[in-house]
Amino acid sequence: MEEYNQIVNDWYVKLRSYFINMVHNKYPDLHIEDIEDLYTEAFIAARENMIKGRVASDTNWKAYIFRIGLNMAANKSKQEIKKVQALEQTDDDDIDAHEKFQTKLSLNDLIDEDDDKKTLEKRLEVIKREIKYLPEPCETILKDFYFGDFSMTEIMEEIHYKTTKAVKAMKYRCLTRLKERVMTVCKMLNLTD
Amino acid sequence: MKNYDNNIDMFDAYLNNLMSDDEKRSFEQRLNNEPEFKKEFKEYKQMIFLIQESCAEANQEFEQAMKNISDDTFKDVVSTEKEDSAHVTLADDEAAKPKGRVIPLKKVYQWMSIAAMLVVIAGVGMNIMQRSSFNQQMAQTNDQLKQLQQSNNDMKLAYCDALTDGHTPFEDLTAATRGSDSDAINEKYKTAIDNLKDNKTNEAIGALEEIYKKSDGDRKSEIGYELVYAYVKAGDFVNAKRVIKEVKSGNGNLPQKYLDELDKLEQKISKPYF
Repeated sequence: MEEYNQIVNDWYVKLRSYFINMVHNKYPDLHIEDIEDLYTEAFIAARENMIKGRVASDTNWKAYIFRIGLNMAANKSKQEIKKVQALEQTDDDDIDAHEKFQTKLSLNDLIDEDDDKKTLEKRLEVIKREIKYLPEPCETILKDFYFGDFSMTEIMEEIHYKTTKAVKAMKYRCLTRLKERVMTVCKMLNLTD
Repeated sequence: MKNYDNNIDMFDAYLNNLMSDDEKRSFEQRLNNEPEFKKEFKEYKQMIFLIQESCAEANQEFEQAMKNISDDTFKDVVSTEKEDSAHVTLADDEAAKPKGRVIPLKKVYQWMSIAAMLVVIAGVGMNIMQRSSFNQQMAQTNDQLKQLQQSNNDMKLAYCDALTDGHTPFEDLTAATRGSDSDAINEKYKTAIDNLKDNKTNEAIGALEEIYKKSDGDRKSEIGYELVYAYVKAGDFVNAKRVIKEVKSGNGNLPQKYLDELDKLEQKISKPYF
């Protein structure tokens, strides 16, 4: 039971600041305290829908809570939706700013005929461990982009970066850094190809 | 043919089916003809697969937790009681003059980080060569990796400490003109500041967040100012930036010198430390 409490509390606390950043960016006319209330209402509504089975169980819960909250914010805000503002914040030539990563990879996508399965398994263990220790903002950027159904624009808003190009550059740096750490460990364990 | 900034953008586009037929053909030709490119794509897919797997696991755990937590406990988690505080006038506190001193530790931190990693990696490499069984090698590498990660974490905290060096907190909050819990808030504020001095940063953040939510006007800005420093000290730059934004856009009147200080801090923490 204690574990469940901790998990819910961790999620509630962790998502809160990102939600506030994102909504404040989209609807600057809303007061911060109102946004905090919206977040709580969205969290409560999500739990209710979860318990009543109104949502599929493989739903991305962070995106779901944020969607509920953003809809509430849109209704509350007196201004029109900030799509124009979001576009102004991205660079003119960053046409991928609103694209989302929508492919779900499976283990079959990773296996080639010439692969040694045991080496691959061990390598995947190394990567899994490294992902557990991802620092911020890498954890948020990579998880929200590759799993969370967030576009670069949305990630930019939640982590309060100035442009989508900056987020992309950070995403590239995070993946490169992750790869370097994995390579270092795999070399030590003689797991390189 | 689209120009990609780097291979990762290209991999993303390929997997997401965002390439034209020509681009796709050209990409697949590269996979067939360039072993390094193929290897890079394979490694990229492995990382993405595991990022997605780890998120899916966390997602499931969260759903289970939300469904099994009791209603009362859930209410405790999400409760956001607010009390209305009076709007207060600012009392100019000349004694609370923060002394500015910037220690450029970022480069030193980076070199120390690289040096520490090389020493640890060199030490681990020599040890591994002497071992025969793979399981023993794995166990040792795990320990040293944990030490390396702890070392990296310690250095990050040292950098965050340096960012807050020289900061002097407000000794007393601006007086509230009404509100029965004003004394309780003052008391909690003092305790939070003592916790910060004793490096009990998490406790300080918890207490400051609580009174920050309950306050308004100038007091809220002053508490917010301290909360920013607490978050920076803890290395939580996301929340620090959030509070800076709230303080700047709130209805409190923080003196300009403190607002300038927050601006400078915001610039520093907007750059990644690694």
